[in-house]
This record gives sequence, C-alpha cells and structure tokens, in this order.
Amino acid sequence: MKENNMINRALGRTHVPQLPSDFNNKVMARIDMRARQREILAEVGMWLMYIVLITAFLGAGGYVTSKYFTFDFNKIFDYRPQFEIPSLELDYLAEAISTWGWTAILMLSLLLADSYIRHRIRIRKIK
Amino acid sequence: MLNNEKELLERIIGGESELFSKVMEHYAQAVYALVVRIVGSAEDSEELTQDIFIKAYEQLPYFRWRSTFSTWLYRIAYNSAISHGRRKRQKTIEIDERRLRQVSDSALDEMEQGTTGHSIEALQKAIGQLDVEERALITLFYYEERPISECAVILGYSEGNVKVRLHRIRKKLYILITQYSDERE
Repeated sequence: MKENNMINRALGRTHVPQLPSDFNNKVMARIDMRARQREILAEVGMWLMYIVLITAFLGAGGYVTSKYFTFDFNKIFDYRPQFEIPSLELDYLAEAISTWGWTAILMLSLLLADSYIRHRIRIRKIK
Repeated sequence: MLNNEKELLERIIGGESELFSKVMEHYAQAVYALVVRIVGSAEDSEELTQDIFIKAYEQLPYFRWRSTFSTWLYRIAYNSAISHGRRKRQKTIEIDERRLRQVSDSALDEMEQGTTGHSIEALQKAIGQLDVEERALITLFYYEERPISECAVILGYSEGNVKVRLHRIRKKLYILITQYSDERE
C-alpha cells in the first residue's frame, strides 16, 4: 500500500547494516553480568541489614532489660536446676542453654529474615 | 510474531533465560533498523539495541499482554531511541505555524505520490532535519506500516494526537523539500 509513497521510499534509502553475528551472545553476556552485579549488591545489602538488625536487637534488649527489670539479670543466666537426675549432667545442660539461648534466638531470627529476603529476591528476578 | 510466543516468554520468565536468544533472533534486526532510522548512526544504534533487549529482558516479568509483545518491545525501543536523541541534541528546524497552515492537503498528497517533481534525495535530507520523535513516528507509520492505533500505543499518544502529528510532519517535510528545491534553483 505504502511502497510507492515517497516518504516510505526515502526512509527505505537509509542504509541499515546487518547486526553482527555475535550480537545475541553480547546481549546474553551483559544480562549475565548485570544479574551477577545485582546478586552481589543484594548480598551486601543483606549483610548491612544483618548488622543493623543485630545492633537494634542488642540495643533494644539492653534498653528494655535495664528499664523494666530490676532483678539481677545475671542470675537468670546463672540459673541451675534444683533437682538432679542421676546420670544426667543437667548442670552443664542448663549452663549451655542459658549461655547460648539468647544467641540462638538471635541467629534463628536472622535465619528467618535471610530466607524471607532470599525468597523475595528470587521471585523478583529472572533466574 | 514468533510461534508460541506467549509460551516462549513464559518459559523465559520461568527461568529458561537462554531462550531469550530466540526472541532476539526474531526481533533484533527489525528493532535495530527502527533505531538506525530514528537515531541515524549505525554505531550508536547497535549499543542502543543491546540496551533495549537488556531492558526488555529485565522488564519481561512485568509485561501484562495489554498489547502484542512486538508493540511493547517497540515502545521500549522508541523510548530508548528518543532519550538517546535528546541527549545528543541534534540540530532540528522549527517551522513557523503560519507557514505550516499555508500548505494544502492536495500539495501533501502530490508530494507523497511524487508528482511535485521534488527529488527523493531532497526528501531524505528533509527527514534528516526532523527531530527524533518526528522521525520515529514517520518510520513507524510509513516504513514499518504500523496502524495509527499501534503507533499511538508505542508513542504513548492518543490516536487523534498521532494523526495531528503525522499531518504536521508531512507539512514540515513539504516546506523543507520546497526550500531545498528553491535553494538549488
């Protein structure tokens, strides 16, 4: 319909070279590179978030403890069970729980946050 | 349009990114040709075409099939080429509104049919003087033979606006080629 149109003919005179044969490879390589860059950025972002979370967690914990609890906090950690079951060294178990309890809670929250963020990133980007 | 285009694109979104090569095999040269005609430089256009496909790949999960894939891809190409053209700030010619109004529709028809005696070289030169948006529109409408409705979607204008713009561009081209012919004489 428009082949004989002068404007069409003039536009058709513009020389359009053939794209190089490695064009697709170049684009795919750039796509991979950008995906890797985004992954690194996300990783750095996550670590920054962990640092903020840990600081906030410890800060808030310390603040709440000092403000609202009058008892000696160390006593809780030094708790020993008052009963003894022969053959079970509950003393050591209680000590382990009291020493690592808070750390375990913190690590668990971080793990949960980590898997949630990774899940969000996975559904946002094309693998 | 590619065979099983929807299925192919869904597989790419699903993680089979290597299939994107098939999309490029089908559309890359056409997109490149459009970009060369809008931008004017083959070297810049190749890099720009790469950027367009990277953008299309990254935006693919947000493509909602409100238009065909090619229209959506052309819209990305158009926007990228326009931004590039604006950055380059190519020199264009502004024509007075009064002069545009003086050009009759019959003169435009004659120009398009080639009965005015103006050379095709003069028309080519005039097209080179248009700004990037105008060049994009006439390329889509005349060379790519896209219907007005599709041009409107690609350019982000209403259909009425596209018609008005096309009419103005034709008038502008007529004035420019007449000027070149007068200069020759």
